[in-house]
Parts: sequence; C-alpha cells; structure tokens
Amino acid sequence: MLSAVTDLGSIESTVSKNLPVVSIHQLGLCLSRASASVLNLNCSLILLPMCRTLLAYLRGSQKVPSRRTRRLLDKSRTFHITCGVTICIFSGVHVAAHLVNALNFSVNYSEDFVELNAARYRDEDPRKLLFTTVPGLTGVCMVVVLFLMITASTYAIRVSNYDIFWYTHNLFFVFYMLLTLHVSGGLLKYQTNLDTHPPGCISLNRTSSQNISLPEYFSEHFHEPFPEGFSKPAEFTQHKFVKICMEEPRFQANFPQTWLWISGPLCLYCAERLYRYIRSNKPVTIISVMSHPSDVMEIRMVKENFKARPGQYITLHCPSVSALENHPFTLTMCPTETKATFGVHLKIVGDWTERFRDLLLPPSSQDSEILPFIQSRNYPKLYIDGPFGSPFEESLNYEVSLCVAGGIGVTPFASILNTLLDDWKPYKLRRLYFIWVCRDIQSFRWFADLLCMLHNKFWQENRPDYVNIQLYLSQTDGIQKIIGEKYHALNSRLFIGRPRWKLLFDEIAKYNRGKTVGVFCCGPNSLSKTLHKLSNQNNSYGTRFEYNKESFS
Amino acid sequence: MGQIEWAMWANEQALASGLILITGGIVATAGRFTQWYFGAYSIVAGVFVCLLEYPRGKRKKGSTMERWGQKYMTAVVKLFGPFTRNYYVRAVLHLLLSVPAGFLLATILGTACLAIASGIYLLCPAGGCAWRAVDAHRAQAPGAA
Repeated sequence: MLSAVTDLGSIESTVSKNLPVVSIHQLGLCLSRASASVLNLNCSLILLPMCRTLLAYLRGSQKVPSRRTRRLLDKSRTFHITCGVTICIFSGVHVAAHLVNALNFSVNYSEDFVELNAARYRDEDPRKLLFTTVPGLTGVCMVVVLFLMITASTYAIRVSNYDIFWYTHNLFFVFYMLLTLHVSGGLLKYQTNLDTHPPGCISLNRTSSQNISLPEYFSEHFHEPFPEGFSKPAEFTQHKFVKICMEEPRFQANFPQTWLWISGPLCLYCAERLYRYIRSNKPVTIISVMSHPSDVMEIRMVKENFKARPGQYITLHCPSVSALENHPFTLTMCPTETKATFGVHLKIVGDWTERFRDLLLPPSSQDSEILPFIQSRNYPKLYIDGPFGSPFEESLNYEVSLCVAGGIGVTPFASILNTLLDDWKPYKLRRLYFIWVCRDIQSFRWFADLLCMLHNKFWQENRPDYVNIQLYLSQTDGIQKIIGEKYHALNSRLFIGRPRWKLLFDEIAKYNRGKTVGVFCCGPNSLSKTLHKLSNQNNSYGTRFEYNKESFS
Repeated sequence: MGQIEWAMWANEQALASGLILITGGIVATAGRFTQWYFGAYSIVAGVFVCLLEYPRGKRKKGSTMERWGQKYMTAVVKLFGPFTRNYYVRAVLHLLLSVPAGFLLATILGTACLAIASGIYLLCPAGGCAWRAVDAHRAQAPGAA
C-alpha cells in the first residue's frame, strides 16, 4: 500500500506539471500506475513462500537462531494466500482504471504530443486498443489466467477436488511470461530533454493554439512589473520566471520496472524447482511394506544422501499409479547416522492411495495381520521429493512440549518419538506430554510397539517422567484393551472418552511453573481451535503455552 | 483425473463472473460512456447469475460445504425443476447471457469469464451431473478423528 501511495504522489506531481499542455485524463492513469506498483510488489513476494527447500534450509540452519523468526516460517502459506488475494483485488482496480484510460486515450487524443498517445488516431475504438496492442492483449490473457487460477483456489475446491487446484495453479508460469511481455509495450514515457524544454515553457512558433502576442501573454500571466534593465520582451529568454522552449520535447519509454521486481524471485524459484527435480530424479529402494489395521500402510525405504530432521515431510511420486500426482506424507522414521532407513505411514483414503496399495500389497494379504512382505522385484518405481519443513520440528527445541495427535495425525510425532528412542540427550526437550486421540482401538497398534519401547527405555534410564503418554478412545461401546501382554503400560494409560483439555492444561501448568510449553496439534480443525484458545489463556502458575500451528489445505 | 467434479469449479467461476459483470456494469453506467445501457444490462445479468449460482449443489461423494445462508436461495432454485437442475441448460443460459455484455469494453471481461464457466459446465458427463439441493435438515457434521 505504501508503494501505491508514494507512486500516486509522484505521478500526480509529474502529470500536473504538464496538465496545461496535455489534457489526457489523469485519474485513470494515477490509479492504474498505483495499482501496478502494488502488483509489482506482490507478484515478486508471492513466489518466496513457495521456495520450500529454501525455507526448510532456513528453518534448520544456525543462521536463524531465534524461535520467533522460525515461527514466521510457519505462516508461509498464509502469506502466499494473502499476496494472492491482494493481487486479485488490485488487478481489478488496475483493469478498471485502464479501461477508463483506453476510452480517454481515444477520445482525448492529443495532436500536440503524438508520442504520448496510446491511441493511433482520434476516436480509435477502445476495443481495438485493447486487443491489438501488446499490453492490451497480454493484459486480457493475464486476466483470464488469473480468473481460472483464483476460481480454482477457493477453500471449497481445495478440500473437495485438489486436482483442479493443482493443475490450474501451474498456470502461474504462463502468467509471469505474459507479465514480462505486458510491460514491454513502452506505453509509459518520460521526457528526455527537460533542460531544453522544461514543463510550462512557451513555444515561440506556436501557430494554431495561441494567437496572442508575447507581451500580452506576459502581462496576463505575470503581475509583477518587468524589472529594470529589460526593455524588450524578446530578451526574456534568460528570465527566471518563464522560459522559452529551445526545442521540441523528446520522449523515451521508461525501463519496465516490473522486470526488476520479478526477475529475482522468479530466478530463485526456478533454481529451487531445478534443484528439486535433480534431487528427486533417483528412485528410492523400497525395503519393506507393512499393512496395519484401520487402512494404514507403512513403507520403509532407503535413498543415498537423504537426510531429514524429525517432523519433516516428503512427497511421493509413483509414475505407475499416476504420472502427474505428488502426495505429501510425513516421515514417521528419519534416517540416522547408524541407520539409513526412513519410513512413512499412509492412510488409504482416495484413489491414489488405493491404487498405490494395490500395487505394493497383493489384495489377498491386505486384511491380515501385520506382515512384512519382501518382494523387491515387484515393487514399482517410487520417487520422493523433499524433505520439507514443518512446525513440528520445533517440538524438540522446547524444554517442555505438549503434542496432541488425532488419528493419523500422529505421524509427525512418531518421527519425534523415534528420534528420542535413538538418542534424547542432544535436544533441549526434557519433558514430553503425548496425547493421542483415536476413534478405533486398533489404530493404536500403528505405534504401540514404539510407545512401549520408549516407555521402557526411559524407565531403564531412571527418567520416568520424560514422556507422559495418554491415549484416548473417543468412541466406544464398552471397555476395550489393546490386545497383547506387552502393551500393559499402554493399557494403563488408556482412557475412554474425549480428553478434558482445560484440566489437562491446568495440570501441565502446575507441574511446569514458569516455563514455556510448546503446544503442537496435528488433527481436525475443531481440536486445533480448542487448543489454540486454551494456549492463549492465562493461568495462575505463570506458565506460558505457545501454540504452533500446521495448516493443511 | 476422471473423478474430478467439474461442475463445482464451473459454479465458482460462474459466481465470480457474475461479480465481474456487476463491477463492469457499474463502471460503464457510472461513467456514462457511449452505449451505457449495455452496462445496465450487465448489472442485471450479473445479479441474476449470482443468485442462480449461489447455492452450491450436492457433491456426488462426500459432504458439501454450503455457502453462508444458501438455504434461502436453494428453495427458490429448486422451484424451477429441470431448468436449474440440468447443467447443460445452465451452460447454454450462461452463454446466451454473456453475449450482450461483449459489446461494451467495460463488460467484455465478464463475457469472457462467463463463457469459460459455460464451457466448463459442458465438461460434465451427460446424465451424470445434476444440481441437487443440499438437504437443509441434515446437520453438517464436522470431521473428527
């Protein structure tokens, strides 16, 4: 907005100097130039949150030590959407202003300054102006592309038909190419010889427009008496009140500022895409595929030079399932120094995951118990892209963390738990509250082994209060238990019904007085909203809850 | 790709085109340019398209996100029976509505956008797509774990 206001101010002052001479309407020009400035800024900024590898690097690097700065990175999607909405609004203003301009350029065609006109002759049909000039035509195409992109990006479409959103959003590249051409038309010009033809100067060889003699002109416009020493008006060439034009004005097109604005981020984004393409070109080697209850499948794989931090996610691309689709999945197990295997847990919802499961697991074994299948010869080629950062990485950097998972939302925390199982000492985390809410008792079996191993490990190391596990079964008919003798520790921490969040927050506040507790939630929106509200409330123990949010779609 | 419900996207596009038509029409009539009565037509057509497209139709699979306050328009749109139910009728209607706005510069974008929406409506498979009213009595249960 600031850029629009300053631009508006500078344009107004430039145009008003020429107002007596050039009578092309100025409000439309001002509005269109101002909105163009805003569009310049937003079109350049909107690409930056999409450089996800760069953001993941910034999140993990030592150059961003402050937690507050890292939390800004959590909001990158919201920033992108805000820029998008701003582009939408100001494009509307820009188009409306230019439509008015087109009309005025044709009606108020100025014969005195032929070069300044956008129209080629008086009363040229403004529709012809729109469609036969480079800026006009590219402008119309850009509006159509923007229309397609914006209508496909609404929340309702993203939630129901993500494909439409994804395929149309890739039109952004066409939009940027058109934008580069749009500003190259050279419509906006500045005067190159201001010293020999200053604004408001009088041209001596004007014939048709001003038929008055010079002294009359001076006496009309300048009330001061002529200073002594000057007797002839012709000697006023050097007078400081008025200047005589030495030569005709010359105009030259402005250098398109837009190229300067968008070239940086566009190059950065292209470099990032190229890097991601090269990095993801090697397929992974699938080690094992396991089927878990409640429609969940686990895949373990290796890839050379793949490093990931706990909490990050990758996207899977399987050409045998779909040539163009990429789907994000959080890593449930990260590669460590000793073990290069990493894994994901996928919930089977939708056609891509169904087809993927049918390729990896023969249909006969899908309903059976957990069984690893080693059929490496028959596995399809799988490519991964990533890892990309997420707010859950921060849970290891708080002294106390509260992690709440709803159903399959447990996956980011599974990688955290795996990391703690490996070695907990390098991290700042000293106490973890882990709350997992599920509808179905069988879902707990996805990570029951991991939880038990973690629990036992901390008991062995005499730190029983490091991890506090609470499992909740939100919908049930009666008392249920996770079947298996070794899950005794989990069964004693299993509660029926939904958690009572207020009591839980009070308890955590009481036992961690004066500390800052990081709250992380991966689950449905209603759960997220409740926790956010509770985190922002004050408590009498001086404990601060910081809510870290992940946004899906 | 085969499971994409194009009608939902066409609905969003038609709603947006209606708003563009209204805006272009206001610019044209306020500026009193030549042939400004096309601008007045554009405002009326825009309002009509917005009202027709405001209630979102029921999805084939899954829950439908209703627009705020759409149940009032749903009752009106349901009254017209097959004229509003069939998406091909809507496609033709939008195409016809968009033509007069194309004569004026201020509303020409509304024409283009409405024509695109009309084209997308034609992508629906024959007989497979129809606008069905979202049942107002069925509570929209929020997704929970």
